Amino acid sequence: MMFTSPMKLLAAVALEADSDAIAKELLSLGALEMVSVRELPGDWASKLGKAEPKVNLARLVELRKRVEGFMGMASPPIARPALDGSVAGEPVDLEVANKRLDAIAADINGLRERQKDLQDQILKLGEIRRQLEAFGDLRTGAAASSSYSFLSIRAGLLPAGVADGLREALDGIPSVVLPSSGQEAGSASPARGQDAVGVMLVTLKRDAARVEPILERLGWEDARLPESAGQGNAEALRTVDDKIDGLRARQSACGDELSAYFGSIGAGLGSMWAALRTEELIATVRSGFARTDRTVLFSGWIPAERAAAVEAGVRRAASGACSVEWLEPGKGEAARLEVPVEMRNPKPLKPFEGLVKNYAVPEYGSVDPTPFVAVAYLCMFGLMFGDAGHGLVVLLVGLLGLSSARRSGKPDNLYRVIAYCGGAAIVAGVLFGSYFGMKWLPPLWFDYHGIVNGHEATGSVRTLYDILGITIRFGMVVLGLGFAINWVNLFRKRDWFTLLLDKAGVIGGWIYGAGAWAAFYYVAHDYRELPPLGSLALLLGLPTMILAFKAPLEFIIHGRASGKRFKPGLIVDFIMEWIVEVLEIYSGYLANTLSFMRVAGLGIAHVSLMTAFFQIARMITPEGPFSIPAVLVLVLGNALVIALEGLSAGIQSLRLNYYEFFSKYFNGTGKAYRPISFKGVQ
Amino acid sequence: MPDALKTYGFLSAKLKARISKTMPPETMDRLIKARSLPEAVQFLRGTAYAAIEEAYSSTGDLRAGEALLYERELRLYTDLLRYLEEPALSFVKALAIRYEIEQVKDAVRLWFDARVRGRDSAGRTGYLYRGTIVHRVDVDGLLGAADADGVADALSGTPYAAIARAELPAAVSSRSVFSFELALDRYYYDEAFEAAAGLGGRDREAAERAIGVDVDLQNVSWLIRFKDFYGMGAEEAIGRLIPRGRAIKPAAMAAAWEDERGSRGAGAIGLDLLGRSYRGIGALIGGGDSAARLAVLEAAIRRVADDEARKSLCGYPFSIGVVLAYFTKKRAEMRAVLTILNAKYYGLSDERIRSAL
Repeated sequence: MMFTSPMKLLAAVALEADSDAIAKELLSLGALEMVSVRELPGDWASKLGKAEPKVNLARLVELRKRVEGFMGMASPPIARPALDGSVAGEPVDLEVANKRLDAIAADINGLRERQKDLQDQILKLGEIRRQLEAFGDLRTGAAASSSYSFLSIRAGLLPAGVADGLREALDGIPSVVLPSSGQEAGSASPARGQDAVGVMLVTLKRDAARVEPILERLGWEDARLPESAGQGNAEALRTVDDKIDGLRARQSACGDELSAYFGSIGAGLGSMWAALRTEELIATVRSGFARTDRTVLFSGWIPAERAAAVEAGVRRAASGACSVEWLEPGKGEAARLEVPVEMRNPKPLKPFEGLVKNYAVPEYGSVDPTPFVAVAYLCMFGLMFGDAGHGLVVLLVGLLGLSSARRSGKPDNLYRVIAYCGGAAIVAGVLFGSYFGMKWLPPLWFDYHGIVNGHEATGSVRTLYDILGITIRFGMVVLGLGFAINWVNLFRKRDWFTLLLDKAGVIGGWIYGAGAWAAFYYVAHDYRELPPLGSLALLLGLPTMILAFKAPLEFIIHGRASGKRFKPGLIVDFIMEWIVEVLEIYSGYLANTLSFMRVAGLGIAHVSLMTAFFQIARMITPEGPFSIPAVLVLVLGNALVIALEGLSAGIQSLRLNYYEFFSKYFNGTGKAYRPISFKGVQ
Repeated sequence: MPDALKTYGFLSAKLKARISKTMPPETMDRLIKARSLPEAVQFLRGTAYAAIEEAYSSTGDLRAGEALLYERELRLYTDLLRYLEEPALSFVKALAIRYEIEQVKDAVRLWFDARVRGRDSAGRTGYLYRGTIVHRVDVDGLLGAADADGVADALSGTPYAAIARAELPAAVSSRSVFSFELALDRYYYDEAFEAAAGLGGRDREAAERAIGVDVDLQNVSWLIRFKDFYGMGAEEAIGRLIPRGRAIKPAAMAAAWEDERGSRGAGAIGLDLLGRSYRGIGALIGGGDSAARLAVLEAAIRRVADDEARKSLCGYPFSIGVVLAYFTKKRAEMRAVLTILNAKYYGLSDERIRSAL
């Protein structure tokens, strides 16, 4: 946890026949980041071939993506089974799998076509509806339908027994069938007498060829449109609406049918996906193997603590018929290879590991800054956003986000950070005695609100200057920690020159410490007295003078080795370099330290905003308990402060870590460790 | 440039953010490679085209999705008007006329099919956009019109009523709406140029340049139709073109027409004009026979528009150029997505789809 994980390089040879089993074992172990054997030094690389693919990898990937597409179509999507290597037995028959997927596509297509047929009917009924609305009543519509409308509105008589059958017979044809009460008046066939019932029928003219045979079969006789048709429009519209609703319900039923269909094939799709994915991963790993006539060679980085388990796994998979060699980073054949960096932190610190990686991956073998970042970040956030009530809201937001991310299977690191920030704000709020800007309990440390609002305070922190002093001291601790980490990193790298003479090295730390002491001395003496000249000369003058030798020493140690020759003009360069570095150290460290005053600044802004909202509320309700509008102002004010200040505090804390803290020691040149596993490349 | 910053700062950021959501080439590739329409539509989930997927999943109807997408895009366009002040507001409103003209054209085509050609249009009118873009167009009144006068009446209160009265009777007797549509397009370009003239220096330049390119492309496309489908003479054809193209002047067209009379098709003339007027297009056009070159014409036209949009996006961000570029790119992307989906519906091969894009 303190440093990045030590790694080892595996170089192994096994029989070609065991390559699949080994690939599977490596995926199960999930610890190897593959390295091409050709990257290892030696002239033998040219004699190696590439392991022959046993399957068409591109085709496998294509089919797997196709399966994923179908799994995603289900609602909710079909979950991908967890892979553990137990699925792969016989190779997947890609042709059979493809045919199966084609059949599924055809089934879904058929269902969509049915939905579309229903949609066509809905659209046509929609048109009928628009026309009927435009006509105002059926008589006008009937008159219009004889000329230019694409609607056919007609009245007729049907034998009493078959009138109901008309609706069924017209199923699938956009139409409106209405009973007509005035049939006798328009009867064209008085002979029918009481056996006939009147019907009004609205269809599209385009469907005439389908409608006419049905009417003929049922014994339809045209009749004059009855007088009552003038009032029939509302009923016709209702009928159309009912039909449209019915069709929509059938469309929705198609959706249910699709869900049921996916329910029935879900397990099969899951198995097919697992088999394809397993085979794809094995083929991908095998493609990284090099081969001779009968053997395969493979290599990769593994965290040292897992080396024994990996070796045992490889030997097991190869039934002992293999040779395994371990190489140390930076030595021998592994000397030129870039070592991947694994940051191993306990789960609670993982979100902060994410913050570090978001900046860059630290150099291999250096201090893993995650625990320090976690503490510094939360302290900064708490100091800037110190209110227990607001912290509780932030904590709840984080927990809600966490729960939602878990349900959706999305990354949850951001929500974890938010929840931690909420916790830090609660702790700080209790220390400052602030609960939604109110003082429900006495502060355990100091009364932030009281000090900002000019109330008399007791204890060690009484004024705004005291608060600013706290944040400056806090900043000095953070920067000091940065120096210490840098020294540890340089010591481990045996980079003595940089350790001693770099501006973030011992000399830089010396100047920073002495400068801090001088500043505190000056403040402690009421800004009237500087430290004794002798002390200043020893503590600040001496390291500053030592820095003058840095450039010449660097030239002697490194410059000559690279073939540079001394010229008199170089002396001017050395002096300029010294002056610039001294200026950089003095102004840079002063700026770095004062930068932490923003922590106090944002904390003061937080309190001031809350005070302002309370004053507004008091202007609405000058005395007594707050009125509803005043409470509303307070609620909205709190929400605004939580949103704005929460965002500001989060960003500023990140900025202080990335810029002030990391700039002292962080070397983000590392490459993230990405082992192969059944979860894919991590 | 404080005014330009105030006018376009928010708009530029909003539209550039939307441009960043442009569908990546790999998603387009997956769409093309999808083995069936349901599989292709599935890839639209979570993209700017999710509306198509939503509508298709509930209705099985691709055109319903297209209509929904079109409606949302129009809403975005009309929403932009809220963020604009004069004279940019008038200009963007003038550009919105293009969408309205498409709305009128679609409705008139259906009316024409049903009333003049006696074809059945039932079921297709449900896809028409019925909202108000700039003027209120009575789409249902238009569809139910008994004759050309009825169409003009339905368009009353809009500038298209006069165009319908002037052009539709002739269109009915010739059984072709081309002249009517041509008049609508000319009206749009006149309005757009007029509104562009009211813009400030840098905006006017960007606007006139963009519309000028559009006019060039439109003129070349019309030129081909005039010559190959309508058999017009040069004088009549050139007379119908819009005289304010950016790089291709009517005189150049007339010269090209006369030079090539009888020897090559209009497609070749159009390509040569484009190749001579726009750098970079010559290489795309290349050689090949006349038919192949004609097939390349549309791609060349799209390429010109895309290049112009890219130039606008790379240039000064606080100008009307960003608005113009966004809609050019969006139109092109929508066209590509819809082409792929329709091709999937008809089961066309990947190669044919790629050649059509």
